[in-house]
Amino acid sequence: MITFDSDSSIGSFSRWTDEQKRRIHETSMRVLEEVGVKIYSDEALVLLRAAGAAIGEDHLVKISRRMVDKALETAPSSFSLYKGSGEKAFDLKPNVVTFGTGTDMPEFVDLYTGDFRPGCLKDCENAAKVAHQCKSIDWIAPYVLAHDRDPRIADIYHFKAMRQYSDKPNLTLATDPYSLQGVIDMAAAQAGGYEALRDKPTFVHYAEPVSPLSNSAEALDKLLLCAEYGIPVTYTSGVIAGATGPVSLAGTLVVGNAECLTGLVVHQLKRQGAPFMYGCEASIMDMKTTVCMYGGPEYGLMNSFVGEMGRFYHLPSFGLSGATDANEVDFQMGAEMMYSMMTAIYGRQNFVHDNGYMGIGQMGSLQAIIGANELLTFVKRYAQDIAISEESLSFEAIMEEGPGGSFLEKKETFRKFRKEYYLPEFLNRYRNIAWAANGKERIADKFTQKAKAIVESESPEFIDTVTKDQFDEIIKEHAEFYRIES
Amino acid sequence: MLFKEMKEAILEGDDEVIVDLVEKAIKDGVDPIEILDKGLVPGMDEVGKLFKEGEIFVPEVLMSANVMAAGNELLKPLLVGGKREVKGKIIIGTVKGDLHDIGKKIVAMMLEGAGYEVIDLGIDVTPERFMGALEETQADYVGMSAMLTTTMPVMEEVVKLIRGNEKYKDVKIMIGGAPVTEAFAEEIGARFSYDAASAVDLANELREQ
Repeated sequence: MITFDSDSSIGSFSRWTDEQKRRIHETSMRVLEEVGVKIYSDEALVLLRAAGAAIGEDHLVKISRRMVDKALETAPSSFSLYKGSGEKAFDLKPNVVTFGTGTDMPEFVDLYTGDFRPGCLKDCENAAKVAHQCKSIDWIAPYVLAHDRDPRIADIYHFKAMRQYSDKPNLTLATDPYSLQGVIDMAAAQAGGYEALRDKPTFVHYAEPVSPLSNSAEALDKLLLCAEYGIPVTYTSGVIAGATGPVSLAGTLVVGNAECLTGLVVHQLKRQGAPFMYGCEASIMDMKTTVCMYGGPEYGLMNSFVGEMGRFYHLPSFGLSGATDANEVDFQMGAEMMYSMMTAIYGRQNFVHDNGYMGIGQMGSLQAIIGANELLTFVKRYAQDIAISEESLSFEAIMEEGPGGSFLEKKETFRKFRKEYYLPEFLNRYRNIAWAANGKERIADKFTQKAKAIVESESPEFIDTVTKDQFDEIIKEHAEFYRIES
Repeated sequence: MLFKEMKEAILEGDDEVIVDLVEKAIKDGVDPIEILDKGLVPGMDEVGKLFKEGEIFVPEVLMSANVMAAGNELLKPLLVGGKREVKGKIIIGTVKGDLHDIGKKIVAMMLEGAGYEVIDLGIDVTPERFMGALEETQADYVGMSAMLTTTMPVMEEVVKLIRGNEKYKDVKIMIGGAPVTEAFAEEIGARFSYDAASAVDLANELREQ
């Protein structure tokens, strides 16, 4: 977590003017009023009709400016997130930037063979164990899909894995509202009831429209469920410039923004004042391979915009950093991770996910999480600034030492260097001869060693047997609903 | 118990505590050699281990070394005639024409922390001063540092002066500094180490010979 003073240069930094943000907003308003959006949820349609939206043929709905203004007015500008233990983790408010892992990657790099293979529940557990040990990762998402579980109940297994091996707050995903209900039931069981969970939410849910401008029943019904239970939710578009959005980045942001505002309106109609997080995960389509980029300059650029737009709307925002399109720990991974972390620093999105995402969002590895943590620690030091005070200016110490003196063995150095300096765990700081003498260790190998050390040692557990039994009961209930084995 | 607390104080870098503890032990009639071997030395060994593992850093090692020295200071008068000796005597300096101090200083402090007696001649040390100090101290080692390629040749001069005198044939010569290489050391007949920690390793290795 990074907290900036609002009067610091980064804390007050804006790349875009209010006028530019207003033009994006105004164009999104025209899209909602003149083009319309598809709404496939019956309950959302009822709510929208009652609020005065124009419901046309084939699920086409036109949302008025008045409805958007009203929703922006009722949604809270900040809220807090809590650990599994119930202890407060952090506030999501302007100038607080928190970092979490990536979500639901289908494939995984095997820690022992290095081969790609489908992800399994054990990977999701190991990712939680590793992310728990990463001091610069503030919260945890279900990093990899458990293909060894039925997809209809996999989400609740992911949630159990995360809660079992960490008490950090979570970002969750769910295939449908019933699956989300399972996650909510589990979190409520741990928190001591639905009221307690609403008062002190321990996770944020992530629902997503289908770009351009379509909203599935599943996605909207999950939004409505979150509103009902007071669970913070983001409705973040994955719009792709040049494919599901216009080629221009501005046009793509107009589409993604209109989609997010659609979700906000539906969500606030269900329950005014329910916590909502602004988001738009806009990227571009690579025009050679047709993949949706997670690295590259455009993604970070548009993400910075999202942070600013969140503040423009007085809503906490959902961001992205530490993701790469590289398929191994390499030059590209380091560059794309570090670059996007810097865009999160300057954009100041509040809840920044996808740290440790790799392989075009297709693949995860424990090494990528460890690498992302190392770089997050690095950028946090950059963000921490140069503290300028009478004490830090150190005139007395300079006077004491004088020309030719040494500051190394001073008590101040001993007391303050750990706070003042970033101390890398993995980045090389040995000169060539020392590095060679130490066996020319490769950073990728060091990440692997660290990951093995974590998963092979006894991991702390964060749920007691009573809670674990309750979790298992919920999983059993869902399996029985689908008449499958749990 | 007292020994465990001494080890803790060294790890914590707390010189006031060590002074109290050592004074108490002396008053209680504990053998000074035992205080050293069971209290102070194990603390410093742990510091060295943690440093190698990357758990602690140079300022912490130096602070612990200072604490060790503060404890040692109290024991010194009692150890005279005892069998306890330092691991070796080292004179060290940055060679003539070179004002760079910090690297050599770190090496000196680390060697001291490792149990050597180090006499730091400072910076801009002429070959004559090295020889004078060697004569005076009868040191076992001479350490030289250079930061500039233009001052490296002074190292060779000093080596020649030492090796030119039969009575110094067993003196161990160690060199270091950013532009210094293994090949250069070999060429002039000295031994090279690339950083403070490896200088300690080298001093220990040469001691065995």
